[in-house]
Amino acid sequence: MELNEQDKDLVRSLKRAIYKTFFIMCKYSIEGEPTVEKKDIIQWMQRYNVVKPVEYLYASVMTFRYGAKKSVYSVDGIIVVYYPEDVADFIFKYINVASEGVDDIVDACGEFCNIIAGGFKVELVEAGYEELDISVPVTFYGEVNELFEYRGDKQLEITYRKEGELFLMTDLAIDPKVLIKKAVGGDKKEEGANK
Amino acid sequence: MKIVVVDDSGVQRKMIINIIRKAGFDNEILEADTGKTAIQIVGMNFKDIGLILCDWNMPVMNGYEFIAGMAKVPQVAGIPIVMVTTEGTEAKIEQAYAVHPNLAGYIIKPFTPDQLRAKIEPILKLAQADTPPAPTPPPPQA
Repeated sequence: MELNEQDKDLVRSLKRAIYKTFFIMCKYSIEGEPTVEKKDIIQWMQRYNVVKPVEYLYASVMTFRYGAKKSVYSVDGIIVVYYPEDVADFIFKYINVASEGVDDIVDACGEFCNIIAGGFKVELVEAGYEELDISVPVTFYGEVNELFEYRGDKQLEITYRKEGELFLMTDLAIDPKVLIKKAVGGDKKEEGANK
Repeated sequence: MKIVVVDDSGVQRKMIINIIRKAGFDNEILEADTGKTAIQIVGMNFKDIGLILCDWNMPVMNGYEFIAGMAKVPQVAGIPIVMVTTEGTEAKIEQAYAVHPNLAGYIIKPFTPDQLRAKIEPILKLAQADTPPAPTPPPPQA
């Protein structure tokens, strides 16, 4: 599926956030472009089904909401960051704290996802969109088959490789209705093109 | 003088504590994983707290609700608070300063150790200078 302008803004914002997070947290400069694919979301009972590919050991999930008008169950977007084991270990090494086991690595993956998602929404605001709120992260270790409230049907899968090996994968989906461009010089708001 | 680190991530708290220790401060550090726990800690220790480092997005009670509560209580409103958070848009920063006008700083994650150190060092040194020295014990009697 071809990317529209909104998709391109989402990808650009997420790439910047990922680059900055690795650069500052791990002193690591990501080289090369990721592969980007627009895919159908795996749904179960109209919910977003996180099923972690076997190549990854950890998966962190956060949700986005637009404004305070929605019900407590309404979610307007979702990001899932998948980490292979060696990348999770690499991140943890740079955080430079004593490990007390897998729980600490799970915690570090969640915090890393939190920083990426926070950076992503800042980039999105700088690209001219209205601000979204983020949830706290939830991180899974090993097998994952979890349902989340998001009900959209398309997502962007962004995969980074390092020397041919999988490095990081993110799935990102935001309801196009909440991707609202801020009006310049007035109160009138313009909704995104992909309604 | 005590320091309180409020963050739902234990790893992030450890990371911040490492930076404080490496900067040469050996103050007692109290940890909280939610704003609610932080309120309990502040309630029991408010006379001794010289700095609070606080995340924004946390379960139960977030950092914004916590600082809003702190600003309303005169006995604790003057305790320096530095937000350490991924909430980095101008709107969120303005929102934090609006609810707690005396906020001592705002650090956006990801941050480098130098950025955190540069922000907290002057606050801690000032707080230490304001803290009266512990009374000298009387000399042993011959």
